[in-house]
Amino acid sequence: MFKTLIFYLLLEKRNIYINKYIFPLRVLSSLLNMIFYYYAAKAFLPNKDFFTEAGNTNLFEYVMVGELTLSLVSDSLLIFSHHIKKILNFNIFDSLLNTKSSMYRILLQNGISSLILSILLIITEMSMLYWIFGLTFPLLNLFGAIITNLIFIPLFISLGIVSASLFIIFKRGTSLMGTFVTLLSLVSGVYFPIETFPKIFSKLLVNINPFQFLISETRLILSEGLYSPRYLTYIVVVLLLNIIMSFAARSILSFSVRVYKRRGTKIWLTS
Amino acid sequence: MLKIKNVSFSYSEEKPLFRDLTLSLTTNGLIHLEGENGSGKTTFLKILANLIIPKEGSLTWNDRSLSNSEVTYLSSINESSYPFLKGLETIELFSRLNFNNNYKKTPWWSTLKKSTLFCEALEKRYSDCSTGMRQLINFARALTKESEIIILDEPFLGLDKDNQKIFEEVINLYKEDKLTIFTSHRSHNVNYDSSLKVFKGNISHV
Repeated sequence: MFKTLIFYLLLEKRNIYINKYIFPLRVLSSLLNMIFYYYAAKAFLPNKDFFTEAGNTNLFEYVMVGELTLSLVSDSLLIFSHHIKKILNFNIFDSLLNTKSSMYRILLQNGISSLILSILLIITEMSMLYWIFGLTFPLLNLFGAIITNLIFIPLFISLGIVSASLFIIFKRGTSLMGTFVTLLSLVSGVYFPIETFPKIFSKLLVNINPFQFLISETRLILSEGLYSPRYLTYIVVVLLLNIIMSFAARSILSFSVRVYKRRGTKIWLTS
Repeated sequence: MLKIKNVSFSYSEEKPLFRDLTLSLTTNGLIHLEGENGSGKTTFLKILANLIIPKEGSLTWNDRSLSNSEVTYLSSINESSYPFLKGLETIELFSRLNFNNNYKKTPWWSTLKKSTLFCEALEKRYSDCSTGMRQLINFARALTKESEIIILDEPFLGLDKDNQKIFEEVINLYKEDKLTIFTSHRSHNVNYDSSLKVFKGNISHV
């Protein structure tokens, strides 16, 4: 399994970096994004800190931490749809179905290898924040935030596999998933605190949106080194959800493969 | 023995393709499946390869339900691959998916290596390969799966005479201990053991 993952990683590197300028271009676009938020934060709040539920933090730091967390989550969600789309468009779905590996395993290996590359990009972005914009966090806080994020990844991977399964049945999904990620960023406090929403709505989001918890907790741990009182409860719930969702994702994927086999016709993607 | 019992399948309710198909095939040998275009050859092969689930009926292999692990399937040439991978990388990827690390020690590998076209294709990206090269790579990647039944859909398409011979040589390697079923409109030179004909929703021995 591990060797195959490394092999996939090398293949993925070839796939993504087929155009050697893609990685530098992505880094450049991140840098431009950072410059934009850096000066926007400076212009709107020149001297003050921006008060959030995560304590006193600077607006630039607030948005950057939100964006980096979002990029990890959205990559976990989107990578699987991207892979299934690629498999279907390259017309290789039947050949893969005929191998001794399950489609779940194939997607998981493909997706995790892509995710490793996404994490490398996030590390590059964090290094830029540190070296260029002087954003520093104590090492212990950084470690705590990384662990918290890693605990959540399986949940988003499972959701990503569910969305990939929808491709097999409904033949579309990119725009749906893109809209979902945009909505997620709006209701999770990536760019502004959810307290700005009406009280009932924001209270509801705090309780039911795990992504909102992940973002606010990452901010809190990074800047203050603190874990909120609900931290342990939430982590236990997420760990349980990880297990339940991985079973659910597996079942939904095999169900959609069965639907495909019963239908007997090829899938031509429309979006 | 491969037993196909009361199998029915249709793409639409109005036009059934196979109805109550019953057939028995031996456990080894080379079988040619013939039929007109659109008669349902590929659909039948996909049913055997567990890529299509029939609406009704059952398939058994040696009295056990026929499963995916027992069938190797080479789809027709319009099935593609990851275009950015070299031929050897494609085969390597499939060997990993089929848990087969020793494919380079097999007789089919050394036979295929006799083809200069195949050797050339190993070093080329799939997107840069000719039709014949792609066919040989697809064949090799399918063979990394060790199974008792081999299904080949139009295997000789895009191959010149010399490479078709090498392809046949590989197929002949398994005549004694595997069941190989193939469709081809260029089968006149192939020394097959028996033949099946698909006609009007039924399949019969010729």
